[in-house]
Amino acid sequence: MLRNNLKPYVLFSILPLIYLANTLETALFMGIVYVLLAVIIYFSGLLIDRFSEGRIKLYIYIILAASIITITMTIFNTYFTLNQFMGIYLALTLFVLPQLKSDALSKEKVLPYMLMIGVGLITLLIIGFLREFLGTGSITLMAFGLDTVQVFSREYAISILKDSSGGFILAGFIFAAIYAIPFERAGDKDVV
Amino acid sequence: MLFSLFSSLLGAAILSNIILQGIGLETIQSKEIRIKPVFEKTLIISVLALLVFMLDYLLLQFVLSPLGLRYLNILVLALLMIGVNELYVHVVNKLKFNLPIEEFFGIHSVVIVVGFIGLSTLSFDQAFIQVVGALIGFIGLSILLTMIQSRMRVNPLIKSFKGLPILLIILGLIALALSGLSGLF
Repeated sequence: MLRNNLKPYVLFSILPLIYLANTLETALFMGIVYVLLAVIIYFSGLLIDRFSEGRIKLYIYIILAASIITITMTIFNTYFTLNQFMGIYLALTLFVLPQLKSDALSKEKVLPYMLMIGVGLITLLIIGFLREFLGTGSITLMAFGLDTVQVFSREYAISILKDSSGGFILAGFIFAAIYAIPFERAGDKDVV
Repeated sequence: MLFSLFSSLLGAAILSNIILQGIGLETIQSKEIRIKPVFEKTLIISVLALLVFMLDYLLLQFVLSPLGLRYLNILVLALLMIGVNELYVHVVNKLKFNLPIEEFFGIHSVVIVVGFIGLSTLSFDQAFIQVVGALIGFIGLSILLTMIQSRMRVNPLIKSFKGLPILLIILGLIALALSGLSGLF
C-alpha cells in the first residue's frame, strides 16, 4: 500500500502552490519546476541517506533544496516574467519533500514515488485549469504563444475561484476525489 | 497612534494570515486535539520565526543588498533556520523550564515565510508589525482549526473527505469570511 500511503504527503506538499496557481500558465510553470526539483531531491537524497542520519540529514536536504531553488529561479527569471513569490512557495514545497521521503518512503522504491509526484503535477494542473476556466470563462497561455480563448461570458464565471478561498474549496473537492481513487489493489487480507 | 498600530496588527493577522495561504498546516496535521499543546507549539514557532525575520532583515539590508546578492536570500534563510533550530535544541537541553522538546521546531514553513516579508520594500517597523500580526493570526487560526478538528472527530463524514480535504474546505470558508473584513483595514 506504498502508493496510497504517499498520497497525503504529496498532496500536502503541493498545498502552498495552490495559493498561487490561479491560472493554467502559472500552474504549468510551478508544476514543471516542482517535478524537476522533486526528482533532483529524490536522487540526491539517496546519496545523502547513505552518508548522514538524524538532524544533519534534514539540514543537508534543506540546504540542497535552497541551493536548487536559488539556481532554478535565477535561470527562470532570465527568460520569463515570474511571480516573485513563486520561489518562496516552491521552497516551502521542497522543504516538505524531505520529510515526505523520510516518513513515507523508508524503502528506496523509485516508481511509486515518481507516480505520486506525477499525481501532484496533474492535480496542480487541474486546479490551475479549473480556477482559470471557471473563474474567468477563458484560457490564456501567453508564454506558449496561445492568446486568450474566451469560452463563455465573464459574467457567468464563478469569480470566487480566482481568490485563495475559492482555490482551497476547489482543492478540497479535488483532493477528496483523489483520496477516493485506490492507486493499488487491496491485499487479500482486506477482503472479507 | 495606538489605534493605528492596533489596526495594522489586526489587519495583518486577518488579511495577511499565513495559514490562509496554505502555509503552516504542519501544526494542524498532527493528531493533537487539545488546545494548550497547540498554543505552546505555535507560540514557540512564532518566537523563532520572529528571531529569524530580524536576523534575516539585518543581513539583507546591510550585507546582501550592498553586495548585490539579494538572490541568495533563500539560502541565507535556510542557514538561519538551521542555526535557530540548533540554538533552540541547545537552550532547551540546558534550561530547567518545561519547554516542549522537539528536534525540528525551527524547521517550519512559517519561519521561512516571515523571513521573506523582509524582502518586500517595507521599512523595518512596517515589516515588523506585518510579521507580528501574521504570527498572531497563525497562532489564532491554528487554535481555531484544532477546535474544529476536535469537533469533526465525532461528526459523520464521507471517508474520502476525512483529513486534508475537509480541512481545506473549512480553510476556504474561513478565508472567504475573513476576506469580507478587508474593507475595514
